[in-house]
Amino acid sequence: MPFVNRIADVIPERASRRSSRPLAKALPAGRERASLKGLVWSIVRAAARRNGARGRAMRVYIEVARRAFQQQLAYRTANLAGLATNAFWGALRSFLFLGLFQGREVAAGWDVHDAIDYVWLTQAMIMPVYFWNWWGIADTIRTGDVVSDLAKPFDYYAFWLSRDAGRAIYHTLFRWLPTMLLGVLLFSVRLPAEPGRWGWFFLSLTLAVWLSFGLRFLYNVAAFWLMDQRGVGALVSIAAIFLSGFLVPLNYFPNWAQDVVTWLPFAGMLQAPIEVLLGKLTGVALASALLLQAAWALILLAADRLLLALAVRKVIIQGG
Amino acid sequence: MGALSSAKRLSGETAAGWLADWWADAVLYRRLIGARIRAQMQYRVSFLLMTLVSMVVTGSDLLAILILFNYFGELAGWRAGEVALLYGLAMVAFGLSEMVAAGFDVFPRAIQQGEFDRVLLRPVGIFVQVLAADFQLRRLGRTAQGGLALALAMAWTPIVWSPLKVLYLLVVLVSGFVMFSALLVLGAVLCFWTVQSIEIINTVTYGGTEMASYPLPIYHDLLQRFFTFVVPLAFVSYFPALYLLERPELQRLPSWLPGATPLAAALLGLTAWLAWRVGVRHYQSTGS
Repeated sequence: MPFVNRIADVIPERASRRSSRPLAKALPAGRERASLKGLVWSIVRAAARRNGARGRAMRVYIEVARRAFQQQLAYRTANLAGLATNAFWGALRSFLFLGLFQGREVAAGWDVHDAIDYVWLTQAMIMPVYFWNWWGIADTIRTGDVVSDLAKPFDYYAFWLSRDAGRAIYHTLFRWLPTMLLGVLLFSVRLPAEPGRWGWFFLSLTLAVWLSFGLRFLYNVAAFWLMDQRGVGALVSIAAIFLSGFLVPLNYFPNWAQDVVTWLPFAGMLQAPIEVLLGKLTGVALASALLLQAAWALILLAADRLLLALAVRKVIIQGG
Repeated sequence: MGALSSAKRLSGETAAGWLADWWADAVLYRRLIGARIRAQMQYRVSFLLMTLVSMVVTGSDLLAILILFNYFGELAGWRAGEVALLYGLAMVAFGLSEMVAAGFDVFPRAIQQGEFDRVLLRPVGIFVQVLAADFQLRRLGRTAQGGLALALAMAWTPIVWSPLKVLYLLVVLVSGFVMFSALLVLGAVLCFWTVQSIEIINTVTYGGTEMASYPLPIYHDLLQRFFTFVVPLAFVSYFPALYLLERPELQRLPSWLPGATPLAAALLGLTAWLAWRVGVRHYQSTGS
């Protein structure tokens, strides 16, 4: 599993010593090095020294994100294997849509090129958006590591969001990009030339990651109440896979279903960014799609924080 | 257990001895699986919920196909019911092997953690121990929705059933089960050399079910050949469906092709078995 969830792994001392960054140099040697709390505090102190009170929090979260990014770099073989899998599925699904479009120019506003681009974008976005089966937080709740995470001197939600941001940036560079390039090579996927469209796409992709994180946070924190949250998580995951347009583009859903699914948060995790990049959304439609994504992201943020607050009240630390 | 192990190693190389080994393994497998099922049934609610989840998760694939065909109507001359037949054949076979042979799916972990050393030390069959290592009854969910797809196919297509076709259907499902299981075994065998878990076999099995859910001619020639001659999953669904539906495509192919399904399964199964034996002999413990 590419996710190691303990803070000790986020900020491994060996890695920090090897790194030549000033922050790493500020890490304490000797006695404090072995202590997790000492390590975290030293980062906070170093950050405060460098940026003053205002930048203090931000600096920590950026560092957390960077460590999450670096942590992913360790799984190079796994990433390559995943890339091969994405490309293989991309090919299979491309042939499916090539077959479906036989003798058809346009279907629900898409031509066959749009469908092929859609296929490769879905494969490329699996890892950056990460919309299924993520147990990062739930695992720490099961092992009890969550207690030390909660005790740390930074915001728990922001800590995990930063980690996810670092992970998503890694997966955009090392999974999204190569998958799309393979799509261009194998199936002549078209990449838009207008820089503006790319700008909107990456904004939409960022919102998609945040949305997906909001949802994952929710079903992970449910582990505070459930003995085994995997059933709930699997159901949410499959809803995300299905209603985001991953299995079937939402524009091929029956009309009555489209009226519902396009308003759900899931559409913002995949279909929206894809339509932005395909250039299907312009003007008001583009603005409202992005606003809907942002609105859902904020609603999920509120739900996450509420559930977290409830969960924290429930936590009883037994020590030991 | 004592009776089992003594029956086991009398064997030698005689045919009777081989048969005795085989029988002992079968009895042992039944016992191990029985224990696993009893254990899983201790948490009845959890079991039922997870089976339900498994059905919903795998059922979404079928729903996706139905939505696509509701819009597009047909794919290379195949309509929803006919594609449901392809999908159902692949899913029942894969669902069964995923349930029965899952021990080979989690085999990399056994190698990494040195668990396999313990397996080798026991005086009973190695293959059967690994086979029984991860039996999950809740995976019946996939098989169940594969069965649902088959039922839809029978309702929506004008298949003319004869006793021969019913028998053929059963043979095809068993052959598909053997093929997917053989692939899982081959994936496990790779780990004898790589130690790490190799995702490639997941691509072949899961990707294979995706491929097998649609008519073969929509794919590029290379993929068609790959899934006919290298990983012969076309024999799980496409060729059998041609025969069951009496499709016109069959006239351009050798007419015995659908009948070759059990042969393909036997070949792949034999390959996997031999590879497994070579792998076990090659095994070196990780020492952990």
